[in-house]
Amino acid sequence: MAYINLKGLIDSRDAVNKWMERFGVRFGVYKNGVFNEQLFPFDSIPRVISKKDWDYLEAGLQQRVKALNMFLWDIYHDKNIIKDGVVPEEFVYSSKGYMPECEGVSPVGKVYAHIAGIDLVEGKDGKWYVLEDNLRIPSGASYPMIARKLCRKVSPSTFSDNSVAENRDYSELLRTMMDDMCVDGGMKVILTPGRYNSAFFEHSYLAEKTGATLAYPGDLFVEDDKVYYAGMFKEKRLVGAIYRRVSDEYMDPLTFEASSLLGIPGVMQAYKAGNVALINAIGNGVADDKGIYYFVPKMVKYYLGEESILQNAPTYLPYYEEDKAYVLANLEKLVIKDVSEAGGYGVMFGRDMNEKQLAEMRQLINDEPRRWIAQEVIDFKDLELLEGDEVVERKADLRAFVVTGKETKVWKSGLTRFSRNPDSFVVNSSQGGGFKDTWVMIK
Amino acid sequence: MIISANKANRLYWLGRYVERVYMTLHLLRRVYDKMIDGQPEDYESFWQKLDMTDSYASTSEFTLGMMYDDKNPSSLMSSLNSAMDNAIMLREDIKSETMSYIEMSIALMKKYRSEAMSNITNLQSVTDWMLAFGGSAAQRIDDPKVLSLIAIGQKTEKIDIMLRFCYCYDRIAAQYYILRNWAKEWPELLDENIDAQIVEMLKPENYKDADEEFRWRLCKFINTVVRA
Repeated sequence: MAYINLKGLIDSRDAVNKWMERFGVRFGVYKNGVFNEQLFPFDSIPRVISKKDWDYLEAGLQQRVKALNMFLWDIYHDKNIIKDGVVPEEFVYSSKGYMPECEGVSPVGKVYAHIAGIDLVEGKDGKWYVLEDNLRIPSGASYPMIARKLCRKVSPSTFSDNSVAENRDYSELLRTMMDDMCVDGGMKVILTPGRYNSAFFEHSYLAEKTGATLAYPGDLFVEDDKVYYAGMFKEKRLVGAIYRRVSDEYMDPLTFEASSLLGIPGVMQAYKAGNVALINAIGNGVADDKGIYYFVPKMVKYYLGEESILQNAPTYLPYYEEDKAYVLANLEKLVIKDVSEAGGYGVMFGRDMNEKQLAEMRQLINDEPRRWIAQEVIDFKDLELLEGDEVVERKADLRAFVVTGKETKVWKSGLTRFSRNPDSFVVNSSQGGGFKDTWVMIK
Repeated sequence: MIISANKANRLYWLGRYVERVYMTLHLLRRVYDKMIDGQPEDYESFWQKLDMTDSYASTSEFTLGMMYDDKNPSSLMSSLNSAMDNAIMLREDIKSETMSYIEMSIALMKKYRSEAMSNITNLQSVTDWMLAFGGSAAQRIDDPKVLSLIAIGQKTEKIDIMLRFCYCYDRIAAQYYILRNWAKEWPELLDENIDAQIVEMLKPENYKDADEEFRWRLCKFINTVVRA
C-alpha cells in the first residue's frame, strides 16, 4: 500500500470535532428511561483498505447480498431451499424475523434487502470474516459520509496527497435505488419514528442529502390501497417509495402490533397490492437471524452455484448434536450469542464467565439449543486511534453498505466502529464505541 | 412541494423563535445600556411587557436569567432551545448549514453560562448568527413555501414584540404588510377574517397608539392570523 500521510488530518482533529458539533452529528441513547443526545466520538485516523482487499470485499459482498435477496424471495414464495434440505425449516419458521404476513408478497424488482449492512472484522492473519448481516434497518452510513466532508474541509492536502475513493456519493446510491424502486412516480419519503430515535440524525441527514421528504408518524395515510402524504389544507400526494426506519412490527397497526403509533395503518395492503415500495422490505429479519447466518455460504452455493467469497467466523449451531457437544465442551473459549438480541447485547464471552455462569450457560444451551450460536473468538486486528495525544490500539469492526436497486452496488467506504475500552470487543455506539472514516484506496 | 400540517407548524415556530432570540437580544442591550446608569425600573417593565409572572430580585439576576434561565420561557437560552427543537426536525428543508447557526449559538451560550458571563454585549455573535440564519435560509431553501413560512413566523414574532414594547405605528404597519406579502405565496395561510380585522385596525385613522387595550387586541389578532 502507498505511504499514507495523515499528519494534516491528525493536526486538525479538534477542528473536525468542532464542525461535527456545529452540524449536530449526534446519536441518542436511552439510559434509565431518559433520552440523551451525545456526539458520536470520532477518531481522525481512518481505517485504510487497500485496493486489493477492497476488490476482494466488493466481490464477496455483492455475491453475499445477491444470495440473501434470493433466499428471502424463496422463503416467502417457493421455499426450495427448505425442500432441498439446505436450511432446516425450524430455523426459518421459529425465527422472530419470519413474518407469515409476507407469504406470497412480491416486492418491486424482487428486492428485499435494498440496503444491507454487513459487519466484518479483519483478523490478525489479514483475513476478513463476516460477523453479522443486517438486512432490516442497518444504520450508520451517514457518519463516515459527513466525517469525510468535514475532514476534506479541514485538511484538503490529506486528500490531495492520498488516492482515496469518494464516499460522499452514498446519497446518490440511495437516491438511484429509490428511483429504481419507486412506484408510479410517487414521492420518495424516509419514514422516521421521530426525534427521539437514536438514529434520528441519520434519518434527517439522509433526507437532506437524497432530496427525499422526511415523514413522521401521522404524515402518511392509506386510501384505496395507496399511500399518500398528507399536506396542509387537505392536499395529498401519492407516495411511491418509503425508506422506512421503523421496525417491521410497528409498521402497520392493522397487521402487526395494534398499539403502534409509529406506523401507517393499512400500509401492508398497499404494499401487497404493489402500490408502494418498502425499503427495506418487511420480513427481512428471517435472513439476518444469527442462526441463519450459519447457512449463508450454503445459500451462495445453492442460489448462485458459486463458492462463497467471504468467510463467516467459525460458527457452531447447538441445534446440531455434534456442534452442541463441541460447544458444551469448549464453552470457555467461545463467544456465545443469543440469536434474538441485537446491538451488541446478548453477546457473552466464555472466558469472562466463572464456573457457575458456565454451568448455567450450558443448561440454557441444553434447554433451548435453537436460541444460541457459538463462535470461535476471532483475534481482530487492532486499529490505531488517538487518545489525547497518545496513539493507542483498540478493537474495531467494519460495517459495509450494499445498496440494491436495479443493480447491487457496494459503497466504497463503510462505518468503522471501535471500542474505547481496551479490554472490550464490543464496538457498538450504544455501548460507548466511537467511529472512524473508512478509506478505500483507489490504487 | 407538499408540506404537512406538522411541518408547517414547525417552520412557522422556527421563524418565531429565531426572531425572538434576535429581538430579545436587541431589547436586552437597550435595557443593559440604561442599567449602566442605575435605572432598575427598566428591567421591571421589561419582564412585565413579556407577561412574565416571576420577577428577578436584582439587575444581575435579571440579566443572567434572561440570558440562561431554562425555566424562563422568554430567556435567550429557552428560545434557542425551542428554535433548535423545531430546526432539528426540519434539517432536510432548511439544510444543515442553516441549522448550524442555532447549534453554534447554543454552544456559545452554554459556554458562557458555565462561566456565569453576564455582559450582554458579548453576545454579538448570537445576533450575527441569527442574521446569518436568515441569510442562509434565503440562499439555500429552494421551496418558496418553506421560506415564506419561516419569514411569516419571523414577522409575526417581530410584530408581537413591537406591540408589547410600544414601537411606533409606521414600523408595525410596515412589518404587517411585509408579512402579507410573504403570504401571497400561499393565500390559504392567512385567516381572511382576522386579516381583514388587522388591516382595518392598521389604517392610520383607526390606529390608537396610546391605547393599551387596542394594542393588546391587535397583538391577539396577529398571533392567530396564521393558520399553521
